[in-house]
This record gives sequence, structure tokens and C-alpha cells, in this order.
Amino acid sequence: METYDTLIEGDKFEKFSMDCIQIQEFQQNRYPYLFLDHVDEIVPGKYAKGFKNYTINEWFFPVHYPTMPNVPGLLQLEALSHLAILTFLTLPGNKGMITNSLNVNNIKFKKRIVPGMKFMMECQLHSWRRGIAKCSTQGLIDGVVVTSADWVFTIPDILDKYKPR
Amino acid sequence: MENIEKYKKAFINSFEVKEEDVNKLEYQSIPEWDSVGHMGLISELEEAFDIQFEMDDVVELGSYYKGIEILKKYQIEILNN
Repeated sequence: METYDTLIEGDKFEKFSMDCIQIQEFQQNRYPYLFLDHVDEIVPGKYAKGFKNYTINEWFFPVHYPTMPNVPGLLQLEALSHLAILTFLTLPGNKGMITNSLNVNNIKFKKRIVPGMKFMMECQLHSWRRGIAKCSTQGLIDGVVVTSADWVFTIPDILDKYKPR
Repeated sequence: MENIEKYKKAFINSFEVKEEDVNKLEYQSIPEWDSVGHMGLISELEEAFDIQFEMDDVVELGSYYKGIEILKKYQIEILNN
């Protein structure tokens, strides 16, 4: 199957949801480095909404930190990226492909996330052209934005098709 | 802004090179012009000239001078000096 390299105006995809098994079919992050439990809503090429429940059993809480467990900022970003990449990995032909982050901007951390919190995440895909995605993400706790970032991702195998011969 | 200025600016913005060095540029002649940098350059040029490259042109645009040639197909004349 050919990869879907560029969003075509007029192409419309149905909204669906994903459980943790389906998430692993569409992208290759795995435990202990998969930070997305469920996708509540996704429209390929447009947006995604999902969440990660942080329980005291997370591997990083005993070390970050022993006296004040909280989710490392970089792992919050990682969680946002796991949701974000699904907005283009769900396009026809892109399932399961390896992705790379090219750029992260406007990173904000506004509140500490501690064991027991549910990290809701949202991603809006702004463009998908020749294997490059531009999108914005935010993470929410109890409806309040606590983390946000703007991203540029790529699928290297698609990018390779467009490099000069 | 003249077309030549727009054209040079696309290279300068993409690869952070000096204006006097842009006409020496070829794909992979500097670390910044790799496959990722190439897409950045293509985006800059498309935005600067309000065009959309065809795929064949994206893969053919392997040097500063080749780009000038390719842009003629899109009715964009770059008078190089």
C-alpha cells in the first residue's frame, strides 16, 4: 500500500476511538515508553483526543522524586507526542511507520502532575505535506491546561522519497 | 522584493548561510541541507513565490542553480547576478 504523504483537500476520514492494543498497532512506542492509554476521538489528518492515567506504579515515580513523585516534564511532552503522531499515522498507508520529532516550540509546563491524576491530551494537526506534520498539543488536568507545545514531526521513510537524486 | 532576493532569502532562512555563499550550495554540500533541510527549503520557496512544486521538481532541486531553472517552469524568472 502506498503511503499517504500529503493531505489532499476534500479527503475526509471517519472519526473513531482506539484502545491500548490498537494504539500499538498504529505506532511503535512500547512499555515502558508508551505514555498513552486510550484515544477517545481521532479524525485522521485533523485532530486527536486521548489520555494517560498516571498511577503510583509508573516506573519513574520512585526516582522522580522519592520524596515528591511527579511526572517529568519531558515525559509529559513524550505523552503529547504519542497522541500527536497518531493524527498522521492513521492516514491510509502510514500505519506503524517510524516517526521523528524535528522541532518543538512554545513548551509550557504550568502545574505539577502527581500520581492519581488523569492527563487528558489534545492535538490539532495543522498540516501534513510530503511527510512533515505541523501540529499543536495540550495536556489538561481537570479541564485546565497544564502542558502545551507545538511540534514538527516527520516520517523519515516518506521524507526520503523527496530528497534530491 | 525582487525575485532574486526572495530566492536567496529562502536559502538563508533554511540553512543559516551567508548571502555570499548561497550560490555554491548543493544538496548535502553543507550539513544543514539534508533531507529534512530540503523540505524546509521547499516550503520556504513555495511560500515565497506562492507556488506548489510537483514531486519531480522537489527531487530535482538539488542545487542553487537548479532551483533557478526549475522555477522557470512556474513562470518565475530569477535574474541571478
